[in-house]
Formats: sequence, C-alpha cells, structure tokens
Amino acid sequence: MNFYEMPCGCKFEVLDDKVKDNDGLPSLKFDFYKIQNCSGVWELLSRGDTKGVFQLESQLGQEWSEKLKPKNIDEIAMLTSIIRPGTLEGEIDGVSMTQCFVDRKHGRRESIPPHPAMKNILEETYNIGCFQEQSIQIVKDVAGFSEGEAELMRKAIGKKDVKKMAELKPKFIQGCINNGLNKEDGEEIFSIIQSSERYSFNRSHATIYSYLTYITAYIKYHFPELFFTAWLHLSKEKIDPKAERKDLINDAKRFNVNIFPPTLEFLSKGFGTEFFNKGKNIYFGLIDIKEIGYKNISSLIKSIKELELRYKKNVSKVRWFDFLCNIGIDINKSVLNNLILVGCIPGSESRKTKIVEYKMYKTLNDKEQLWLKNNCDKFNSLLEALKTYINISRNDGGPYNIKSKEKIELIIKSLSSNSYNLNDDPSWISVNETNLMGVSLSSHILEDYDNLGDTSCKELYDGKGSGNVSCVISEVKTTVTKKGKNPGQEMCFLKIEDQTAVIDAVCFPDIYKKNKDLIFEGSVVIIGLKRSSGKSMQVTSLTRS
Amino acid sequence: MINNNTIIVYDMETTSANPHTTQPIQLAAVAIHSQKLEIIPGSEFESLIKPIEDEEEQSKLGLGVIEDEALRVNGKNIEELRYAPPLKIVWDQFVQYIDNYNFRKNIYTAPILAGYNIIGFDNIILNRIAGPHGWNYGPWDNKKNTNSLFSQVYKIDLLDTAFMWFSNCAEPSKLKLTSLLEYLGMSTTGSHDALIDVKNTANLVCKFLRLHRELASRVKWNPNV
Repeated sequence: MNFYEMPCGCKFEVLDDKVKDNDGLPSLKFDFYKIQNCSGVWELLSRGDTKGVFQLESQLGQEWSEKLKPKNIDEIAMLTSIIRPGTLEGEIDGVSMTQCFVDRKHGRRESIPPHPAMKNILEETYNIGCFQEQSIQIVKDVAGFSEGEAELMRKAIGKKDVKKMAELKPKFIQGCINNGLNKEDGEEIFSIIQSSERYSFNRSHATIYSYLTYITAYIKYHFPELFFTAWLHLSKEKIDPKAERKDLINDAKRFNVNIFPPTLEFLSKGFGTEFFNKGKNIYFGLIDIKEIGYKNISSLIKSIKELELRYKKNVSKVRWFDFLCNIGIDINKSVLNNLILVGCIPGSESRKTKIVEYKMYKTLNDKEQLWLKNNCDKFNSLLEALKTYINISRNDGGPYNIKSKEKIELIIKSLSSNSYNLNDDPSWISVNETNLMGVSLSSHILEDYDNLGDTSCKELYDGKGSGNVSCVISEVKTTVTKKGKNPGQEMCFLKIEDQTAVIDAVCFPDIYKKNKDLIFEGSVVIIGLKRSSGKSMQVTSLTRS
Repeated sequence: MINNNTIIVYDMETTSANPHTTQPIQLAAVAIHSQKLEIIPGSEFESLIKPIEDEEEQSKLGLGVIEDEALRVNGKNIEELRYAPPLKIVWDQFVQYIDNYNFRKNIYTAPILAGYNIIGFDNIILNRIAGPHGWNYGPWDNKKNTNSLFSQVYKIDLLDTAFMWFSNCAEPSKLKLTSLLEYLGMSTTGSHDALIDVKNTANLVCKFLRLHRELASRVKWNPNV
C-alpha cells in the first residue's frame, strides 16, 4: 500500500500512481472514517477561514471561530453552541455570554461557577452551561434525580415547558436539601438551570455536527480546489449567486487556487458547462454566465462538436472567422454576445472587434449566412469574404436584389474603417465580466491605475503588520461608535481588494471624518493599514489613487 | 450620490447653424472615467460624414441647404466629404461605441452626455438622427420622446456651467468655447475640428467636475447640522 504525504504530515492511500492534470497529485483515497488530527486544519479554524465550512460559514461563524480558536471537536461543539442568539444576547460581567466564554478560555477573565455545587460539571465549559446535558448532570448530582427524572427535566428545558419545570421544582429543592445544600441554594441552582433554557444546546447534536465541521474544514485545507469547485457549483442555489461566487473566488485566492475564465476548450469532452477543476485550476462554468442556461448550452455543444469535426481540431484552436460562420448561424444572439464579452470565444481579435463583426453578421439573411458557412475556408475575415460575395451574381448565389447589395456595401464600408479604437482596455473587460459573471477573472480595474502601494492585500492577510495598498473599496458598512469618550461618532467597516485578495478593515471616526468623500464602493485609493488584532486591519491613512 | 456612469463628451460639425434643419458632417466623442475624472485613453471616436446633397432627399428629411460659410468655419470641403461614410454607418458605429460604455445595457447605467452648448444645438440634432421625426436610426424611447442611448436624467452642458461661474464677472467677456479656453489658459489651436473641440471640452469638464467635487465636501450645505 502506497501513501502520499502532504506537507502538513497527513497521509493518504494512493489509488493510482499516475499524476493527473499537472496538479502534482496522484489519485488518493479519502476515507471519512480515517480523518486525521491535523494542526493545519485547527489553524484554518483559528484564523476564521471558515467560508464554506459547515456551521461556521456565516460572518458570525468566521468571526467567533477566529476569536475562540477551537483546538478539538469538543471546542467546535462549544463554539457552535455559544454563537446562538441566547448566548449572544445573554450577559455575564457586562459582556455577552459568548464573549465571556471566549475571554475565560483565553484566561482574560476569571472563570467563576454560578454556584459552587455546579463547578465540577461546568468547569470544562468555563463555568457557562452551554449544553442541556450539563443541566441533566447537575440535577442528577446536586438533587439526586434518577436518569428518567433527569430526562424529564431535560425535555422540560428543551421545550421551554414552564409548567413542567414548576412541577419539578419542589422535588428538585428537596433533593438538594437531602444532599446537604440549603433551600436557598436549591432555589438558586434551579433558577440558573431554568434560565439556561434560553441558551443551552443539545451536546450530542452539537458534537456530531462538529465532526462534520472538522471534515469540511479538513477538505478545504487539504483539497481546496475540490472544495471551491463544489461550492462554486452550488452557488447558483444561493439568494445572491453573484455575491456568493465573488466571496468564494476571493477566498480561493487566499488558498492559491486559481479561478480561470470560462472556456469552450473542454465542452465537447463533457466539461465546462458547470464549474470544474483541472488540477489546481478551476474554470468558471458557462451556465453561470448571465443569460446562458442549460437550454442554450446543449445547442452550443452540438455546434461545437460539428465544428471540431469539420476542422479536425479543438474549438480553442479554430479561427474567429470560422467560428463566427459555423456557430453564429445556430446560436442565440445574446448567448454568443455574452460569450464574446467574457472572452471565451477563440481567435486573437479583440472582444470589441468580435462584437462589431458579430453585429454585422447578424444583419445578413439566412442565405448570406449559409454562403459564408460554406465558403469561410477560402477567406481570412468577414470583410474579405463580403468583398467577394458582393460581386457574385444572383444566379450564382450572390445578393438577391439591389437592397441586399446596398446593405452588404454598407457593411463593407463600416468594417473597412472603424471610427473608434477596438482594443480592449482592462477596465472595460473588468466591468463587463463583473456584470456577466459577478467577478472579473481576466482583468482587474486596478490595471488602469499605477500601483503606488508598498504591499498587497494578500501579504497583509498572510500576516504582514502594516503597509500601503493600492486598492478598490468593494464594500462599506457605516455605523456609529457605542463606547469611548464620544459615543455616536460615525465610523465604517470596509472590504478592500486588489488583484491578490480581499481583506477587511476598520476605519475609525477620526480617519473616516477626514476622508468621507473618498470612502465609497468603487473608490480606487491608496490605503495605509496596520494590524489591530488577529486578521483585523485598521485604516491609518487614505489618499486618492 | 455616487456617479458610476461614464461621461461621453461629444461634438458635431454641421452644414449650417440651424439645429432643426442642419445635417452633421463630423461627429467626435471621448469618454471620461467617472471616478478618475480623466479622458479614458484610447476612447476617441471620430468620423467625417457624407452629407445628403440630393435636394429631393433633403426635402424628405426636412434638411436645409449646405451652407458654404458653415463649411468654411469647419475647415471642410464638399469634395472631401463625398468620400466619407454615410450617416447610417457612422451612427451605427457611434451607437456601438456608446453601448460599450453602458455596462449593464439599461437606461440607468447609460453614459451621461456632455459637451458645449449641447442643449441648444447638438442634442437637438442627435435626437433628430435617432428619432422618428428625422432619420429614425434609433435607439428611441417613444414614451419619453427622447433617445435611449444616453442617460435620460443627467447631462452636462458646459455652457451652463460657465454661465454659473462667470455670469457676473468682467472676464471672460464672452462664453464661447474659444473665449473660455483662452481665459483658462488652454490652447485654442484647431478649434472647429470636432475631435479637437471635444478633447478641449472634455478637459474643461474634468476641470470643473474636480473643482465641484473638491468644494462640495467643504461646503456646509445644511446650517442646522
């Protein structure tokens, strides 16, 4: 049995030695029942890199995973239990129960049990009763309840059955007295257990789910290309698929996974309709482009197969003119238009040139388009072909009448001299791709600007302490300060991005006030950043790029 | 309010000074980046246009005669213009050029039209080219009775801007484009060529927009806040 060892030390059984798709990996066996304890995975959870990780995908999950830094399955179970509304809204020592839990875990607050009799049971969860099972253990140990009676108590807590709890109370208090506590102690402990109904969670449920959390984090850490391919494939199920894809693609960049624009290259082999990966590279799915659905794809696949058969080469190697004459005749106008705009149509001509020529082509009638399809091999371009076609007599298949001839003449004149530059500029490409796919993959708006920064978003994300980044502000969330000398002052949370990554930053009132006119979505700026804590970056300066 | 729509500065040279009967003989435009407030490199559009000389055709479209004085001012001659593409071709290319800057292909993201004295002159001609009462080349919004190529809400006529700034000043003494350029120390060489005029106007638009944005952040608009 051969094993492949990852850099982190995890080993996987090799199923097939042959390295496929340039990713440097042979085929490996993934056994759900033999998941290893990997320090890399715990580090991923501790960084809050939990986009797509079960139960911790949301902003809340990411934030508190980073704060708590779970180190085992039990701690994941505690984490998922304490980020529920009950614990977030409940208070201990002037902070939320969730924050108190985290502080106690990291030794920043003293961990005091709510009652000394509960210490042994609550110690492992830093004296905060986050599990219903802890309440069961307390009623057994402190009040001498039997297993069955404790289960009744648990059900009453779980269902928030006030009536049942009231029925059990006298028995509970008597049980406490029998075990050497006084009546007041009994009342106090009962009250604590009763209030736990608002926030405690089922431990067995939390634990098994936490196992799934670890497995998804494990896959993300070891096989990020497969992880992101799967999630990108599912992005269309989300309320805002474009926003979801953008988040996933930005996250993938941090894992050095490359997302490539959609391609027709593998369509005839059955790949490309949906997101798919070839080794470390993920290709954007064709049906996730705006206005391209399954119905249009099937006719596209059929046409491409015919084209490849005719020219005996892959569609990616076919000339633009041949593609136009063979595929343009069959495909829906907006589909081909959008495929041109996202850059997956073959040929070295610019996207703007293809748009213009396709528009001219669509003004031709069926007979004219068919003539082009049958004769495109003889010419290098639409202009060249039409210059020949216009001189062919009607009997030999040329223009049908004077009106047709005039129309062709106009097209020839138009193609012969264009009144504007048909080169594609980066921001034009970027804006069109963002509009059609939710994200720009071939170009970034920053390519139109000089890079005057001294670091990148990825370097900062990976741990660099400070620097100036040339970036675009992609999200702004304004709020007001709640604490400090002057509460009620405006500040904001930003998402900023460059070609390497997207990071979060906080802009405090003093900087926000001075630079309010620069802080808006789409603003291209040079931002000075310094690390405040963990992943958080603080804005120190802002200038227009 | 943040504007993300590209600003298109355009200018037409024509066969006479009457916007209701004239025909264009040159169309030029440049695009301004809405955030950077700079002319987008490589965004020039420019073409001569072959005018209609046949009187019967002119009559059908309600066109006036081609005035020699207008050609003289524009520095064009009729022989040169006969080799130029007809309006249909130039207009179709212009529509495609503008469409390239309308990223979501809807009226709300359509570029904002800008120029010098466009409300009183060029826009009237533009609407005659696009609309049903003229050449009818489209695109046209029948409900709003205007073209649907550009923003139907915003436009920047630099003549109005100049009026706002200088209407109570001794200088500049006139608000012609050349007078304004001279007053602001900018070159007037090549004026009345559409592309040169358009670039000069675009630079002025950028200058004024930057000034307005800078000032807007410093003015206390609401004294109660």
